[in-house]
Amino acid sequence: MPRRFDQNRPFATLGIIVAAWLILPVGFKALVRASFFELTAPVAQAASYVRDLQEYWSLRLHTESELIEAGRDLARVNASYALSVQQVADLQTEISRLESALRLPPRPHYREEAARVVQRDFSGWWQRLVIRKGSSSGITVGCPVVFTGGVVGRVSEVHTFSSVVEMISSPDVRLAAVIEGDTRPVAYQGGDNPTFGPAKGSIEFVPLDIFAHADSPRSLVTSGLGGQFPPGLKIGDVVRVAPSADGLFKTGEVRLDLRLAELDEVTVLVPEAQP
Amino acid sequence: MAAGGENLGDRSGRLVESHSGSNPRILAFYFLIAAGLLALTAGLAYEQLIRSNAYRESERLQTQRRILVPGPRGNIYDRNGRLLVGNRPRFAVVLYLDELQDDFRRESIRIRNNYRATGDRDTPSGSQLDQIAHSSLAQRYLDQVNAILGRSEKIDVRELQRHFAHQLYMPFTLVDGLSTAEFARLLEQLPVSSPLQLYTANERYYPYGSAAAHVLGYVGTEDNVEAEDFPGEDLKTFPMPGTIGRDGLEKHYDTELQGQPGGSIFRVDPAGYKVNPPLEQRMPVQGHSLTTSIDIDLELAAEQAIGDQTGAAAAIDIRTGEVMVLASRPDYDLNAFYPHLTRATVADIEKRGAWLNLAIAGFYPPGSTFKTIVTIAGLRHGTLSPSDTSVECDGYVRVGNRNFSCDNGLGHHGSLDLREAIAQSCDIYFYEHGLRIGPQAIADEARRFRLDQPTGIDLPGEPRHMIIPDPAWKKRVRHEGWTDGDTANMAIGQGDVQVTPLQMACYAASLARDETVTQPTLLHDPDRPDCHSEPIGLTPSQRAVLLDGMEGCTTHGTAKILALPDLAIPGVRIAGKTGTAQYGEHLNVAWFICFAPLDKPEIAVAVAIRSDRPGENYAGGIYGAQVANAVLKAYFAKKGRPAENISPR
Amino acid sequence: MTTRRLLVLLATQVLLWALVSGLNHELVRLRLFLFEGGLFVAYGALFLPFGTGLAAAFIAGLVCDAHSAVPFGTHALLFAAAQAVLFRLRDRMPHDTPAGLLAVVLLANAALFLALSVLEVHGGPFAMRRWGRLVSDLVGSQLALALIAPWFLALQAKALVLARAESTRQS
Repeated sequence: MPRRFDQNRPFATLGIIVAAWLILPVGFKALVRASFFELTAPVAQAASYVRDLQEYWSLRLHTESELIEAGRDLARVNASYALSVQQVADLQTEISRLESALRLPPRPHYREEAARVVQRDFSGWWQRLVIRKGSSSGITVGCPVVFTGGVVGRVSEVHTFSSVVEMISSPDVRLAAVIEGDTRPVAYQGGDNPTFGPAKGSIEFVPLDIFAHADSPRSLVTSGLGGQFPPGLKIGDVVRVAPSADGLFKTGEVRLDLRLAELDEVTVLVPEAQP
Repeated sequence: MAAGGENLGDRSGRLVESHSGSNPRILAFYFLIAAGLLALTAGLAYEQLIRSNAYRESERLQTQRRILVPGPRGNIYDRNGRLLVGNRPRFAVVLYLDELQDDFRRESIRIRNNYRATGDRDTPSGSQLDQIAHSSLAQRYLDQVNAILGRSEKIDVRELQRHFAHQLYMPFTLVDGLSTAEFARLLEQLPVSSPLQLYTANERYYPYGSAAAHVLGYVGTEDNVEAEDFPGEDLKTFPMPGTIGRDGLEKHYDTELQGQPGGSIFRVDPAGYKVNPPLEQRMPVQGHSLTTSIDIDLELAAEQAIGDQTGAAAAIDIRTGEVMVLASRPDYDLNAFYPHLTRATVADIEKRGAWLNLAIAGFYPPGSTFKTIVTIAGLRHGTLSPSDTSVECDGYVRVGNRNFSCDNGLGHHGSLDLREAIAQSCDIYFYEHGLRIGPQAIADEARRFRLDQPTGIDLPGEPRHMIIPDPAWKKRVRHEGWTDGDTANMAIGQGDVQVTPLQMACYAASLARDETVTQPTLLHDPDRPDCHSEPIGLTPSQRAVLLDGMEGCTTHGTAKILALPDLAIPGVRIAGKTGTAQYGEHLNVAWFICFAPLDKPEIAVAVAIRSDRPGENYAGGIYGAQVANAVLKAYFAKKGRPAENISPR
Repeated sequence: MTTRRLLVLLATQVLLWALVSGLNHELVRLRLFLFEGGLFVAYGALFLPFGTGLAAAFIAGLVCDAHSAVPFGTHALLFAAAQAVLFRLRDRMPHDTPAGLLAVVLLANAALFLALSVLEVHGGPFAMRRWGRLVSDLVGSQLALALIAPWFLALQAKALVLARAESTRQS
């Protein structure tokens, strides 16, 4: 074999690999991707179980008095939640009555599926979570994912026992949101995730009569108009709005919940047919 | 061997010798070669050093394209900062065809392979395959949109091909005029980096619909968007349609309202597809906003008071000349102009005669409102005395060989002085005194108030059809001599005299300031200096008589309905003058001019309501006064002026 | 022998992936992300035959792809390209000394990071700010790499020895 070719053999091989990869059918690649994910998923899952175990043993270190105190706190919180649940039930009844009186179309129903977070993967390129529930729990692509502070993101990949959640801080997530108290939809998009700082998103198409400032932020919630998220889920706080150059709308900045970076458990809202 | 070697040496010597350069043919050959090389070198140098700029320029022109995006127009606000004209978004979902080069190629190959696989002999040509691929792929993207929106839209193949041929770099609109809910669905469900994107165009929006329609005006589409300060003027440019003012303030202040176009310059590959990122990019910027002098509350009050009648009203800030009301009915809903004006709407506007702005282009005889000018002329020339009661109104007076009647008072005016003659609008009194004053003095007085020329308001197309006749005018235009009958007619604002409501509003404002000229403007400026012009020239006592007469008009005279409890504005004294002018065939115009408060004038109003059917009798004291009253009520209610602050009579 | 070598290499790479993923899971609180792609290609490219190194880098890339929001094959092809370049230049690289080896790994990692960033960041409302974050991530990644690389490369070498799959160096 000529020496010149031998020297360039790595690049020739690379070229062949690239060419072969490009002409491989998309379906085949998807299959390989799923296989690789499922093959390595137990590694990540095992790590998460180890973390759970670690947490369990660290909790075991608490003294009895600490546990009793925590139990009391929990009882208080539960009592307040029990009251809230009763109020929510009353409101729900009232809403249902008004909806039927106004003959409004039925709103989508969601089943809540709690899931542990297996892996947090927040880079400057993407912002994702891997959760420990998948298609076996009825989760589908596009399901909204929430936590106590509001929206986490939406399911972007579903595997048998795990799913990937695209976070609202990701630049590839765009939602139809509304400023709380307003009905006009604005476009929310994630993307600003500075090191050591809170994640931020942007809003566009903000009506000109909306004002917000870091000292008097406005709450941004899901609109329910987009067809994926139920209305009223908190996305973040609008801390700045400024008129855009074209004068038609304002654009703004949304500060996201700091707890998004510490999630251990989330709830997937699985759409269900109307009972 | 030796001989052979010698021979060879000789031969070679000869050979060398033969190429030594002495041969002229060889020399010429050398010369030619050298010259050729020199020419080539020179040519190369010329091309590389001299023509390189031209080639670079040629390459630039061939490989660069420019897109211009018009900037949104500026807003128009009323004097209190309320939005009268703005821009509203128009949402569409568009497909960026230039991002689909590879997809189109793959689709074309796929379709060709399908034909081959089925053994079809009628395989389309390359360009036909391309067209099929374009339509097929675009429809596939449209189907994505259909699935999200629950629609069943189809691609307009001809429009797509036209777009491909001429506007490849522009987004191709798949679905226009999306509702808010549809916009939200697509926003959430379309991938962020898809060639399908939501596009926001803007169109003019008029929150008050038809209010002040003739003043605000409308815009039309302008294809030739220009951006002189954006580089690449010589490049092939693809402008997105912009707007241009076609009427009203939109037209008069088009330059100020026009936004600054944005755009981008980018390279294209040999197939004509865009190469990202752009070489140059600039965002469009909204145009300057205008604050008009119009007060929308007063404008609405005037328009509602006119209602379905045909007429106009103008109200002016006496101090500055700023026009607060310029209403004209019938009118049209400005929002009906966008996205485009339908033929049915145009036919309806034409049928109702709504295109015409009667406030600046409605020319009518001023009727009895003109008597105030006759009064000023008489007082200034000394032919009229405030206390003169020599004229006895018994309903008729003979001028020349014709009887002139008094249309007001049914012949019961009897003997009255100037004050009451104005208040009761006695025609006989002004016939008699008009004849004494003379036509030239009356005409000169009217011209001092510039009733013979356009007001110069900042609106396009203010006509010049106003007429203040005098003997010279009649001779020049009608080729007839002036008669006493003409003078009598002129003295009560009839005959050939014709003015516009805006002119009469300016006149009323001038009268209120005791000056002769008010320059109206539709721009609001809080720091605008006061108007000042030549004083009218009446003595204080003369002016007092005139104003007393005008106030009497609104308290017990021809506009006494303004004193009725329902219409009276507590604590506000109004100086007014009615007019009921005949024009055309048995048609009349109800006039009313006024200003208030009498002791410290702020607002001047002029109203003209005309009958549209012969025989309808529109009296100025009723129809005109009610509209003016609505404006004044709105004005003083808005001022919140406590009644006790206004000095009672 | 080649298969055993490949399997050992892959096992160490999966271990590396799991460790880095775990580290990133915890570093989310600081909004810092570590990228150690250079380590997936370095040993194979510098010390193993071309085919084995390429296969290991490509498969490791596929593992990374399966867990990332990138078109499947992005990491794999980038790792393969880095492997080819390193293999081609390995005779001229000072990788016989620990410092030289670390320098090569750092360089490869930075190149891979930047290539991935260019592929991933295009437009969007925060494109410029995202580059700021990426610079922080790169600095963090390089610092972490400097700490991990000696251990990991030694681990790979030791694992090959234990599996009796060590290689005599080939050009």
